[in-house]
Amino acid sequence: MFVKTFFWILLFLILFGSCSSLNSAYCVKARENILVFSESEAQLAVRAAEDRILVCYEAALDVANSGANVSALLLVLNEAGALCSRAKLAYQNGDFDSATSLATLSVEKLDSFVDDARFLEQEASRQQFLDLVVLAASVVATVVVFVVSVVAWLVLNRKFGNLRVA
Amino acid sequence: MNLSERRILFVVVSGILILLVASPALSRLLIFPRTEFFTEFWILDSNHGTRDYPFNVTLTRDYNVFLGIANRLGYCAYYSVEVKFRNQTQSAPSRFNHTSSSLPALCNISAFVADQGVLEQPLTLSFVYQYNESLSRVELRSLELNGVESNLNNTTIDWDLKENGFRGVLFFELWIYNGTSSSFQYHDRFLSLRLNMTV
Repeated sequence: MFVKTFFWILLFLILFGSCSSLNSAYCVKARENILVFSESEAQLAVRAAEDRILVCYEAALDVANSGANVSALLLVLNEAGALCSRAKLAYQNGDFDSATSLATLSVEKLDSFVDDARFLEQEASRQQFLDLVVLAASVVATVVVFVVSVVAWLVLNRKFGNLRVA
Repeated sequence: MNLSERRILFVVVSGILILLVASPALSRLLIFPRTEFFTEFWILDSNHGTRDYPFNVTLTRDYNVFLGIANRLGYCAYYSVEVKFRNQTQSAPSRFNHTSSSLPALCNISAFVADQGVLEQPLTLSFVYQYNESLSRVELRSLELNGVESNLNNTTIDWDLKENGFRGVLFFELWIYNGTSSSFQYHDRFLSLRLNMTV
């Protein structure tokens, strides 16, 4: 009887010990996968996403003002804006994990945005220079064609004399 | 061909040549200046029309509408559409006073629209509410908009004797980002969907 009880206690202790050690080992791993963000962390993430969107919007505005086509940029900005809106809603609902991850996703979407905007702006300024050259060439060519026409008219008039008296 | 005809031919050929050469310059110079700057804001039913707007709302059923914004402001604009819900007595936006509703937004829809650009978004709406028989009123729980749930817990709708129903209004206010003040300002436009919550 005593041996039996001792055996059960020993078995219980061994099982309990192995379970708790396994449990703690798995907990460390599990904690890496489970997101636990505080309210202030979520708030910071959402604010960072909002600020990033504003910076990118200003960049897109500059690019649009330089005459470039910004539709591709605005597509990305709209996607990031939608994520940020969802992050704000999740924050309002007290779901700080979703808020933080959505806000982070929103910022990630805009990672290369400013570089892309700068590239487009450079392209636009190059295009603007080309347009200016075409405009100047057009004006000069118009003047040349007009002057040549007048000169030709005068030369033909002088040569044949009676062109004016038609 | 006599001299008169040759003269006309010379003038016509010269004129056409001048117009051809000048066309790139003319296309840039002959642009009428824009004098009106505004934003278009619309809502359409699921068929892209105006005849089949959701009205009789049933519990958890999905309703589809399209929300559109057209930017004619002369610059790329950053809009925010605030989605709000009100009962018969709560604050509504005013066209006369140019003010927005004082109710908090259930959610926001961000929209970046290029100058002369149009953005149209499909919206799928559904409501979760319950009928409180003892108080004879509808108590709203939430609004689901494109799969995202917004809390409507503080909103109740009493029986409307005039309209014979539980009437609520889902409305969309258009706000625009002002770079000078670094804040969103009410853009004096809103759209409403009048709803009858059936029980």
